[in-house]
Amino acid sequence: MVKADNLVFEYILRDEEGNVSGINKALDEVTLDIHPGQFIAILGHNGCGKSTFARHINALLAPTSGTIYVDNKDASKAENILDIRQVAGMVFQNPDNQIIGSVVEEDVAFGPENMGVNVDEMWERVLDSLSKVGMQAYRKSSPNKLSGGQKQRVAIAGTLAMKPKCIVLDEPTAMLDPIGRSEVIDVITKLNKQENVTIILITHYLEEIENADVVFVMSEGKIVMQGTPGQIFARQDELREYKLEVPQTAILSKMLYDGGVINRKTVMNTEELVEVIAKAFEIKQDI
Amino acid sequence: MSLIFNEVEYTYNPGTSFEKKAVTDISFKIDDGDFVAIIGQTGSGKSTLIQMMNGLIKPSKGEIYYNGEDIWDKDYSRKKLRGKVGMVFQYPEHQLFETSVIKDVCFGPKNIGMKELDAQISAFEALKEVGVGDEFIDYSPLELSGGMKRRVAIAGVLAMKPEVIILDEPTAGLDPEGRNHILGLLKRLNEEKGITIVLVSHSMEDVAKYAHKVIVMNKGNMVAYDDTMKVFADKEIIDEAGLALPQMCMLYFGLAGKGILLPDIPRDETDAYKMISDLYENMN
Repeated sequence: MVKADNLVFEYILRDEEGNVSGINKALDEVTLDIHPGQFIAILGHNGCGKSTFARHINALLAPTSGTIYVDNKDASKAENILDIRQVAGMVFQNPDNQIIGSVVEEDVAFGPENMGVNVDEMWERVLDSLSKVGMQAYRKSSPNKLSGGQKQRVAIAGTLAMKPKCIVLDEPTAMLDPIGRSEVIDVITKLNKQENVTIILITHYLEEIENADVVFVMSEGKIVMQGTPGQIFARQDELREYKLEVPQTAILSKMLYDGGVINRKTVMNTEELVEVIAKAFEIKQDI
Repeated sequence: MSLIFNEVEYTYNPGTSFEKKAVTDISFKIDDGDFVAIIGQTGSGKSTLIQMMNGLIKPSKGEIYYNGEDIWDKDYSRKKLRGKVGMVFQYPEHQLFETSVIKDVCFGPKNIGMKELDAQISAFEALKEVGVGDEFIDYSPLELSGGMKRRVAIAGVLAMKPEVIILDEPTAGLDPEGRNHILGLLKRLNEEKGITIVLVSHSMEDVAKYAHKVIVMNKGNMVAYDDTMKVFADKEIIDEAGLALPQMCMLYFGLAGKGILLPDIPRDETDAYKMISDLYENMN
């Protein structure tokens, strides 16, 4: 679906006279391969290059060197850009910056209309997309009156209506409260499992990567860790080094494992940890 | 010395078709030197509440007393109040505007009537307190990283030598290092300088770890105000307010459901580890 090979992107820094004063490598030889239908999480702290990478998937930025193929098309070639933007939809951090319609259904219709989809099919897609994100009841509402999580779901419906094979979400939950965050994560997980849409979730919250198939951790423009959520959570010291916050449950499970109470090193959610601890107590009681 | 709300109510756009009651019948007392967290969903009235604490908006009904004086009395100086009750808004770095860090931090103290030299000394101290080194004082605030900018913004309030600091989600959007730095700073200001802290936060884990007391807001009503762990022990109120329990609290209730009773609700993971391993070791 997305195949990056030695991808490099440099920002050129200029002084006041416009002379080149330095070069900042935002992406430093990134190589990865994402398959159709996968749920990918890309983790990293502020400024690690994850958003720069996301912008390459959608051909908003072109690589300085190296290649990126999206749906087998070279994203650095101008003639592929329109195709690529229909394959890979994008959702940004701030819902207020990406909603343009004054009525929810019109906002969702903007993408397909722009692509030249005929009117009947367009409305069909709008309704279908809104129902997939659970927002059909609000189709006639003004987006201004929605909560952050609802706005973000409308933004997702807007990309869905273009029938993308892949959706890239760049920190979609950073400005939301906990309820809005879980709404968005539930919707994208559902789209991945039921509709088989490839999801690329960019985030710095470790709690959100639990459902991912593969996780990449980025730091200073490089991919520094790669694995399943379980494997990633097991390497807590490294995560901290890369300025990522490990959830309390995961930290506690590692402490209990190291202290010989439980026999599983990484447990990511609290309910699971309760089961594991209860089991450990049961076993000890039997002895 | 304390901050008291007595049956306070606030209505936006009264008398128009956009009339909306933001908070109703709020009464509480925050004591000197306390560390109070305010939690609640978006739209529950948290921001309205804190804006009333330092007299930015006037309650539609009820009274607010600071150190025994009604802050809306006609002889009361609300300008002085704002020096004593400092406010750090959400994303405060967006409000940095001066040409240098030191000038920006001096703005507040000068504005409440401190002399130039006193303001500068106070600004230096405040910058030191928040961990912004001398080498940065002549930088433009715009040249600093996000975490640094936020510390400068907090220094701007600290330089007014406030008795109370109110912060609206001071850690939003920061990475863990930046968050721990800010929360550690608040703890220190509270414990060492006795500054009262009022913290609005969405992170229940941070609230459990740092706050002594918690106010829970739900649809404009104050549904709980008590010691932090007592509030989190009342699962129903937290659920009804649309909030999640801190992870260690969920663990406590989960284990209790399995018949494993921890002596207390753990504040954080270290606490939880001690309790669980003690219990485990002492099983027969």
